[in-house]
Amino acid sequence: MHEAGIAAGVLELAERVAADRGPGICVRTVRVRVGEFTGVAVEALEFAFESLRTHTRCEDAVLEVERVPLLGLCPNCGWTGPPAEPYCLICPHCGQPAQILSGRELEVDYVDIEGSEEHHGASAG
Amino acid sequence: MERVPVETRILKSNDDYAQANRRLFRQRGITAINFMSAPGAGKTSVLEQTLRQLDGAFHPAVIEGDLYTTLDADRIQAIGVPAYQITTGTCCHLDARMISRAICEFPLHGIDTLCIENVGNLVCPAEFDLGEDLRVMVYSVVEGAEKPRKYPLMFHQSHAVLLNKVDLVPYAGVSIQELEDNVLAVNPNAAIFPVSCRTGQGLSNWIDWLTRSLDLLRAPAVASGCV
Repeated sequence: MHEAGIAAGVLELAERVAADRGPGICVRTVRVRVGEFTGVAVEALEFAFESLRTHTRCEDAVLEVERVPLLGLCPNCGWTGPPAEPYCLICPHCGQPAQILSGRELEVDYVDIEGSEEHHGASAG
Repeated sequence: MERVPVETRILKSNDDYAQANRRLFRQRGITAINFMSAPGAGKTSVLEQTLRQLDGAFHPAVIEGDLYTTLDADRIQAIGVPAYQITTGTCCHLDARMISRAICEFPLHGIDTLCIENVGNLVCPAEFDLGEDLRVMVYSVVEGAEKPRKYPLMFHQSHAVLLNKVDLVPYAGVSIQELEDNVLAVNPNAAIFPVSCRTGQGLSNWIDWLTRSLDLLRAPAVASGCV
């Protein structure tokens, strides 16, 4: 399951944000956007995130997942909308190939951070 | 509490390696092809047939991805084509960093076509850019006509889809028309080739398409090399 690699990527990005702000900063929320037309199973991603966050600045962070629906756009007739059948990228109006408007997202949207001397930085003193 | 916008692709690290691979391939005039499929669909057989039949004007090499064994690389080397094996252990797909490491160790001098055989898996490899120019999916008809709807991403991401083992259609009871319709539903631009590596059926159409595609992809590298 490649969700472990995806979760590691999420952690890497979130950790970098916290690290850039200095010691003692930890992550409270990680908001990710996962498109409907990606090979990512959200439950597996959540499980992997929870497994990998131990001993990181994300140890107490909540992973929030925003699912982005698959929407098509027809360059021929201008149709936009969800596919008529699951994952079908043929325009339901004119039968021409449609393009993907949304649904391929796989990104970290934002992180919420706050200072916490208890978890980081304090041990050095 | 402070909210910090990130708005960055989760696979940015992989994408950065993929772009670096792509630049290196471009500089060296190499066209890279990523072959993907479920286990047992016939990627290695397709590669063997393709490498045998490719015009002598091409100078190919192969990077093989496998969980544990070197069986596939051995098969490719046996037909006289250089092959490098990546054993991923438990990892279910190749990523761009693995390719980056491989091409540090695998001499690509004199190579103009690099075939990368991904780990057999119908889901995960589709999400990881390796720096390739072409993505080719090998699908065995005995997997059924409905899989493009159930596992759409790899079909969608592929420039060409080979429907392998068509000699088994009479025994599998699968409708090639229904299968092709399902592929085109998730990827209306896919080039589809029903083939049999066992009988040779349909392979010439695939080889013609591949040769034309390689010629087209080769042109910019040659042009930039002349500047």
